[in-house]
Amino acid sequence: MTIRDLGYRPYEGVRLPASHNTSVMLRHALSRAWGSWMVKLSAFLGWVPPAIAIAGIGIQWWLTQQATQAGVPLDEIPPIEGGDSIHSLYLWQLWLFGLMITLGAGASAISEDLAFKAFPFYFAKPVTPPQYLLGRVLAVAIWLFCLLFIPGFLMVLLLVGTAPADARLESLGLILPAFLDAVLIAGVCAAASVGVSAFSSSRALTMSAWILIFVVPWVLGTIVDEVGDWPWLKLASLPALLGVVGDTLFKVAREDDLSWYHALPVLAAMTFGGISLSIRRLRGAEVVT
Amino acid sequence: MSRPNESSTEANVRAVRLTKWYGRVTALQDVSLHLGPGIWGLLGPNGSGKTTFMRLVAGQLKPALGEVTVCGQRPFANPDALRRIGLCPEADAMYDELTALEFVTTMAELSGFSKKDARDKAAVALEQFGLKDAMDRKVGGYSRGMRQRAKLAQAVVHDPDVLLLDEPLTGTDPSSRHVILDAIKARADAGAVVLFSTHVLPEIEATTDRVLLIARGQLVAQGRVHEIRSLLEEHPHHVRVYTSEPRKLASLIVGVEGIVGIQFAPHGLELMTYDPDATYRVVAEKIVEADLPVDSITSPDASLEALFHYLVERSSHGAGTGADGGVGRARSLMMGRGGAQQAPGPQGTQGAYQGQIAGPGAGAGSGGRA
Repeated sequence: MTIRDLGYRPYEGVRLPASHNTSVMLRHALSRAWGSWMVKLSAFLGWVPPAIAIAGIGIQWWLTQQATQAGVPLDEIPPIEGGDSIHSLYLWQLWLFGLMITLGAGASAISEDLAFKAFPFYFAKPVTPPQYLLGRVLAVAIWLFCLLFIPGFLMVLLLVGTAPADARLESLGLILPAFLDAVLIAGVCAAASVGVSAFSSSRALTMSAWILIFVVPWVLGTIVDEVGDWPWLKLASLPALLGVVGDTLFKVAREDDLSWYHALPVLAAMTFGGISLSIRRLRGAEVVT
Repeated sequence: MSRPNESSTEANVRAVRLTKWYGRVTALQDVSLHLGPGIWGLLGPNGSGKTTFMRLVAGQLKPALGEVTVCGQRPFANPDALRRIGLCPEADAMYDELTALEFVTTMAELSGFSKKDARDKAAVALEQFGLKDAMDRKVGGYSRGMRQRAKLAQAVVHDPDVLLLDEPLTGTDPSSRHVILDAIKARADAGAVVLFSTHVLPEIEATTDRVLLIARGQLVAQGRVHEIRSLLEEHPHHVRVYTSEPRKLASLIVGVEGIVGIQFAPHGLELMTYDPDATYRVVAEKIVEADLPVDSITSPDASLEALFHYLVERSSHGAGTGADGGVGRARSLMMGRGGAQQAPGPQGTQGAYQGQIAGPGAGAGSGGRA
C-alpha cells in the first residue's frame, strides 16, 4: 500500500506565511477558553449587571419625564451621571465576571500546557513563543473586552437616546472613554493573568495565586486607606489602579490621593512583567524559536 | 551534500557532531549520522538521549555544538524546515474539550494551510488513522488508542518529509497498531524519513530492521540489525538447535572450526560461534549425516533485543559520555553504499561503539566495510 492508495495527493495550494500563526493561535485560544465553564457562565450571566444598569437608567429617565410633566424645575431633578454609571458598571463586571474569565482562560492558560506537555505540538510547527503568547493573551483580552465594552456601548446609546437634545453630543462622547477603559482593563488583566499562569504547571496553584494577587492587595489597600488614610498600598492592587485610571477617563470626581500618573506606570509594569515572565518561562522550557 | 539552510528535495536528516548539554549534564554528544527515506527505529534506555535527539531534529532545541539539518535546512527557528517535519510527542497532550477535527485542523493551519484546506486535510489524516466516524467527537471521550491516533494524525496532516514519532504505539490495541503501522509504512514508502522511538523492541522489529541505538548520550550503532550484529565480534553468535538428542549432536560437532562453545539447553543445544553462516552449514550437514531428529535451528541473539542488550551493556561498561568522562575502547565501523563513508570524526566518541549504515537509501548493506 502506498500513500496515494490512502488518498494522498500533493498539496498545490498556497502555504500561508508563519506570521499567520498568531491569528491561528488566537482562534485556538478563544475556542479553548470557551471550553471553560467559568467563561461560559460569565458570558451568560455577564448580561445581568448591564441589564440592571440599563433598567436603572430607564427608570431614572421615566421619573425625570414624570417630574418634568408635573412641573418640577429641571435644576431640582438629579441628572443621570453617564460616565459614572458606565465606570461603575465596568468595575462590577470586572469583579463579578472579569475575575472569572481571567481565572478560567488566563490564569490557567500556560500552566495547563505545561502540565499536559503540549508545547511540542505548537513549537514543532512554525510557531514562535511571542506568537503563542500573543494568541493566549489576546483571547483573554477579547473575552474581557466584550464583557465590558458591549454593555458600555449599549449604555452610551441609551444615554444618548434619553438625554435632552443639547446634551446628546456630550453623552455620545462617552464612547471614547468607554472604549479606552475597556481596552485598558482587558489588556492589563489578560497579560497579568496569563503571566501568572506561567508560574507553575499546577493549574490550581496559578489560579489560586491569581485570586490572591487580585483580591488581597485590594482588601488590604482599602482597609489601610480607610483606617490610616494612607492610599499608597493600593498601588499594589490591580482593580484599584484600574479604578483610578477609569475615574480619570470618565472624569469622575473622587477624593483620592492616587492619580492616573501613579497608576499607569504600575499597570504598565504589571502588564510587561506578566509578558516577560511568560516569555521567560517559554524559553526556559527550551522550545524557543 | 547541500549546505545548511539550502533546501533539499530529498527527505533526509543529517547530524554532524551534534551535541547538547543541559547545564553540566551532557544529554547528547558528538552524534553524526545521515538518515535517508524509510523507517528508522530509535532505541535506547531511559535517559539515553533519544528524546533530546528527537527534539533537536524537530527544531525544539538549539544544539550546543555541531549541527543538525532536515532536508538540508537547520530546523531551529526555521519555519520552512519546520513545515517539513511532523512530530508526534510522547505526552498525551490532547485537549479534552476540542474535537479531534478541531485539534488537527488547528495543527494544519499552524503549518500554513488556509482554514478550508486545513479542515480538508485534517479530515483525510484522521480518516487515514481510522477516526472517520469519531472525528467530530470531543477528544475527552476517546480511548487511549484513539487519542494516540489523533496525535499521529496531527503529525502527518501537513505531509511532512520527516516524521518523528516518540512512542507512537503507547496504549494502542492490536487493531490500532495495525492501522498506525500501515500508515507509517505508507509514509515511508512515499519517500519520508520516519524516526520511530520506542522501548518495545518487537514494535521496531515488526516495522523495520534499520535502527539507531543511543546510549549514554552517544550513538552506539546505526544500520540494519543483522549487519550491526555481525560487527560485534567480541560477542559470539548463539545458535540454538532443538533436538531430542543433544549429546549425540554435541559429540559430532566438538572440534568443528569456528564453534567456540557448546552448552546444553532445555530441549537442545546452544552453540557459540564467530561464523554463524559456516556453523549453520556444518551443523546441518552433521544432522543429515547422522539422521538426527531436529525440530528447529534458531539464532536467539540475531534479535533486536539481544543486540540492544549487547550494545547497551557494552556502552555502560566501556564507553562514557562527557558527563561521566568514561573512556572505553575506541571503535568505529562504517558501512555505506558505494564504499565506506566516514562520518566526521567524533573525537568525543572515543569509547562509543559505532556501527553505521550511511547513504540515503540505507538499504546499503552491500557497501564495503571501513
